[in-house]
Amino acid sequence: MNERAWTFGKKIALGFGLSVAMLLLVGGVAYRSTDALVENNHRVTRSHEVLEGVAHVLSVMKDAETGQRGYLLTGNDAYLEPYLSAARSIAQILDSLRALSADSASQQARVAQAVPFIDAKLAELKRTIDIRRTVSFDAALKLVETGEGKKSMDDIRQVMAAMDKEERALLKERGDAAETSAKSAEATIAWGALLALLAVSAAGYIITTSLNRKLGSAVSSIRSASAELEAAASQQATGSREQSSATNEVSTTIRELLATSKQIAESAQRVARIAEDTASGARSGDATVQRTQEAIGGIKRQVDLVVVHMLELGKKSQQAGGILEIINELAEQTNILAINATIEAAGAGEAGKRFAVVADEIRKLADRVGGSTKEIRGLVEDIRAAVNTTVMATEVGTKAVDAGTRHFAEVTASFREIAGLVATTTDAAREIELSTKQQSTAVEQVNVAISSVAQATKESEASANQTLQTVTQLTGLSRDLLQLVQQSPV
Amino acid sequence: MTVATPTLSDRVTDLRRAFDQAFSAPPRGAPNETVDLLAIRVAGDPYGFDVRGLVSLAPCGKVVPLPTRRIGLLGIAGIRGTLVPVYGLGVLLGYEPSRSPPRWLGLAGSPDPIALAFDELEGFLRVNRSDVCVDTSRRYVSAAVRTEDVTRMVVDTYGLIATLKASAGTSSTTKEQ
Repeated sequence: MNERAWTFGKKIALGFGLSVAMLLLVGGVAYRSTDALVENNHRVTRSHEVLEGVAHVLSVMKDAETGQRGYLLTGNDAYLEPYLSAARSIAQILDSLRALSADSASQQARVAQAVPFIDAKLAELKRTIDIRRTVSFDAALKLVETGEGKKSMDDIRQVMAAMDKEERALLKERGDAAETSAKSAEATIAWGALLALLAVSAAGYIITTSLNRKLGSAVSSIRSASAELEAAASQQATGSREQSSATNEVSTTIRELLATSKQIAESAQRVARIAEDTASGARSGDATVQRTQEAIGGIKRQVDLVVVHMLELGKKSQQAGGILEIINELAEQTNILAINATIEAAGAGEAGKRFAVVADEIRKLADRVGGSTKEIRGLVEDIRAAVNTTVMATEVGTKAVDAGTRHFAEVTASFREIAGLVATTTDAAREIELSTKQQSTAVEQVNVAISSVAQATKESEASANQTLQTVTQLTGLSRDLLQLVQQSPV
Repeated sequence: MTVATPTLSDRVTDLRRAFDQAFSAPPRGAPNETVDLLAIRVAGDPYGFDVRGLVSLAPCGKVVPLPTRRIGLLGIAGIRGTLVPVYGLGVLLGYEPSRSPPRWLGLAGSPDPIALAFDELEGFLRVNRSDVCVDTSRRYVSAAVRTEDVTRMVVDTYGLIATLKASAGTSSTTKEQ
């Protein structure tokens, strides 16, 4: 298995597991040794108790015999107390001895063997006591002298001695076993502790070495990462402050926008009112324009009539011009005749002098007529020019009236269009007002959201500062940890 | 300062007054002290006919051209039932032939008058004899008259007609021979 793939937890767990296994092993062995030692001690104790029980049986039996002898000698019932006590407790003592020696069949057999001897002894004692009480001392003495009681006591002593001997043998055996167990447990604990110490030391050395090597590099990495994180946190704090400032500016701008939106809504409302007034004015103007158009129609008819009359006047002036041309031609002919008359008079010599005077008068008349005709022609031309100018001006006026009529028609259409546009403007202004109010509501919501963002930004700034502080502490901790790991200042 | 424009009735009144005064004035002095001229223009230059050398003045009607090599002869025209030869006065006075047809004819030389065609008739002109000076520096010009702002040449009607008739007579004599 690759060592690098092992984590520190695995390594520490392996070290501690190995140590725990060693401790468990040592503990188990020690437990078993201790348990065997305790068992042996228990057996030794029980052997001591058996020995005490054996001695107790002999003692109780001796007390019973002592009481019997005292009573026999004195006949005082007070001396029977040891006997009575023995008679009452012997069975319990035997049961106890039987229980203590339950692990030994031979001892059980000896207890069973001792029970009839004890019963026989107690029966002999009881008979002697009864005889002493009922018969006499001597009768009782005779019975004692039979040796029945002594024999029973000797049997009891023999059995108890056998039990004592065997129990002492068991005691010695168990004492040796206990000593062996104690030594074994001591050795096991000592060696196990030594092995466990070695294993834990080895694991500790390996783990410590690995920790020093890897944790040092990890702490270095943490330190560099902490430095980078510190720079990032500082940058984040700076960014949060800038964002907070920008958010405040945005909030201010949004408040201004909100005020502007309200002003726009109020302006749109005023525009709607003005548009309604304008629509009313446009309708009134439409009626006025229609009346004016009718008046212009009357003017147009009058102007057409004037044009007809002026054209008639032009025709008349042209006719007058034609007549004047005839007069002019007549004057020229007269002039020629007068010149010819003058020529004839000149050719007639003295006879033609009076005729020359008349011809001269005729010529002057013709000149005057010609001059007057020229004058009249000029006047007629002036009249014709004036008529033509008037006609042209009238035609221009007619065209102007027509154009005015058309313009008024266009104005009427424009007024109607204006009325429609004003109605559209009114609707648009109302829509603008409604939209602006909705926009104001939205802007207020945005303002609230921006306020939340500003609060979040402030919290972020505080968090960034906290992060910066934490990172600074982390950098210090990594430095301290590195010093702890490498035992050298970084 | 503005001058009031005369009305039409004022103009008519002035004309009537001038017309009446023209006939109410007494006759002027003896005609021997004056010379009567017929003022004309030839190719734009001022000329004059002595009325004593003319037979009559007539508007120029239709001129029928003739196959001839005579200088200035435009053709013949009918004047009051009489056929007369028509000469271009401008060509005879040394001008280039006019592109437009002549408007007036001055007949001279009785009993067989010759018509001298010219373009423009300015009118009758009576000048003092003292204003007339002899000037024969140009052909067919007999005198010069200083009138107002121009100097007007007086056509030598007699010499011109005599020359034309002489030329015509020479031609007819040559034909007869």
